[in-house]
Amino acid sequence: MLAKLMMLDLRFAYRQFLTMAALLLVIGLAVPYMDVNILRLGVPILLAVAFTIIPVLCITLVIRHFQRNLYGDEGYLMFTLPVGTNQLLLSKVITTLIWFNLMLCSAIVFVFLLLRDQFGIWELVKELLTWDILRKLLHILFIININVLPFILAVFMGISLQSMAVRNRKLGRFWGIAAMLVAIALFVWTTVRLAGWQYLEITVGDQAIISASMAASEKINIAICAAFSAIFFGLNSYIMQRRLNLD
Amino acid sequence: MSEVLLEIKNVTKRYGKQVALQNVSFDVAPGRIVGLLGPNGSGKTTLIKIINNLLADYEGEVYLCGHAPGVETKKLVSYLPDKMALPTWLAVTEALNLYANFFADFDRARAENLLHSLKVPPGKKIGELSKGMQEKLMLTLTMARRAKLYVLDEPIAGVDPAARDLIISTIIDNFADGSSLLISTHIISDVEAVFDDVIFLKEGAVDLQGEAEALRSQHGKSIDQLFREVYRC
Amino acid sequence: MKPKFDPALPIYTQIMEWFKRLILSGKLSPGEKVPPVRELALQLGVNPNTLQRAMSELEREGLLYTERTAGRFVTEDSALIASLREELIRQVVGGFLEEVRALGYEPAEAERLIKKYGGETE
Repeated sequence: MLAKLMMLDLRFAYRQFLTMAALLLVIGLAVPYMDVNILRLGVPILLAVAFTIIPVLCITLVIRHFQRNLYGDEGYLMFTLPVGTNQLLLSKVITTLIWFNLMLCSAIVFVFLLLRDQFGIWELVKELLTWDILRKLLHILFIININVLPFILAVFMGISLQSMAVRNRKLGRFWGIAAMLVAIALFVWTTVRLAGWQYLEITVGDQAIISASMAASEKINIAICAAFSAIFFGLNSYIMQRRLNLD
Repeated sequence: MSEVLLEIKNVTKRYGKQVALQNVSFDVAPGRIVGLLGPNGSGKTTLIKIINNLLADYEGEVYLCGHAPGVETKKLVSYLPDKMALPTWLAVTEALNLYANFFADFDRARAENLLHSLKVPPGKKIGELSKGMQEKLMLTLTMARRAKLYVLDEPIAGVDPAARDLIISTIIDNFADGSSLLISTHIISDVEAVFDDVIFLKEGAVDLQGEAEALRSQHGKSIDQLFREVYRC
Repeated sequence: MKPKFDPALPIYTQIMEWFKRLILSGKLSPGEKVPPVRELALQLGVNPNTLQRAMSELEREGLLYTERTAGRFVTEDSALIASLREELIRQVVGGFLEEVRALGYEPAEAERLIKKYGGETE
């Protein structure tokens, strides 16, 4: 059943997501063939597009789908399917993570493509394609994913909370957004307090090629993410199961 | 007749201070067609949403074949909401796939026949269909399930009388043997011959209920006339 | 052959009446198979249970009978049909004569009136 639900959730916006990913690759490939003057002007704009508009678009798509599919008219179908609320929610979370990773990978490839003529990027890629580095990359990807998870669940929880206010939708929206922000703030605060921050780098020779701020203690970080995810998921599922009030 | 398919016991639903349903109780026996009658705002849709587990926050008890609303009952109830619940980005055939995927009792061949006889174009996206066609598609999907209980929320509202006959005959022709139908409506004259039992909801409470034929001989009036009397202000 | 029912009266009695006339008038012949309940209900736009009830009542009166597997049939008892038909026409004539009397005619004049106006309604 979960697989069937995910197929349905993926089908909602696969065209938009794949188009965005393809667009990034095409632009990345096309840029070096443009005139140098356009390039100077163009690259910052392209980067701006890639790293502001596209994430906003993706987040909008995900939020809109969650809202309409569960709490809009489509909810009348989704909540009458013989499927538990946990599965409904899990399907949304997993598909969102799939889109997140797709866009993340596309963005990384995009940056690599833009930089490919700058400093022997192909040699770098060749050097990067070792099992050791790939394992590190996958590890970072995992850490990124597990840190993103509480954010996704907090947003979903906020939307579910909104639906509880049947009498006053505007007030419901306010409380939903407020609860979401508080949930996120609480998560970030707990992480910083308990896990601390560190600066992480992947180096090839002397050159740092990937760097990111990460929680200092990975185990604590993962535990906090898991705990917050579980709490947000549980609350969300509780609202869907016991406090559902479709309009 | 002691057998009960759907049991509604003292159901009350409040939205804040406003009471949408007040102590509603009734049973639906197997093999019956029950009319849930009342004007807009009388609580019909609220009750139907509770039966379908779309409102989880209520007082009282609801049992379908002994189960409270939940995953188990969703396998047994085929529901036609008064909203366009299908994702409009699906094609008609994809909607059939969706039902076949999720409902074990979905009879695909029957659905295809119905689509054909109701002239719904199978290749189109749902969003491209007219409102009337969308309603016919929803009716097809609902009636093509071999369910225990069919719950139809205002299936003939906003439909012209010719289409009304078609919808009624589709409903009668397609519900599974031994299953029951709960049909909510505020238009009674064209459909009253279809009901075994009727329940009049007024301001969230049951005002009158009984067997349609018994009510006719008892009052010497049609259900439509009784309806007009009950709701006269 | 779709009759119009008066919704103010029980529908199953009206179905019985309509069906009885189909049999007595010979539109349904003795031994003829009756369509299945679902089909008839659909045709009349009535509840299948209501139709079932009407059919059961007609069975009780002996006008229909059921064979377990084959379905439901019109009775082959022509004597019963004839006597019920006689009974029905007796009622119809009785009603007619009552009307005639109510309008101040003598029953004896009825024959003359029928001859005079009978041609007007085929």
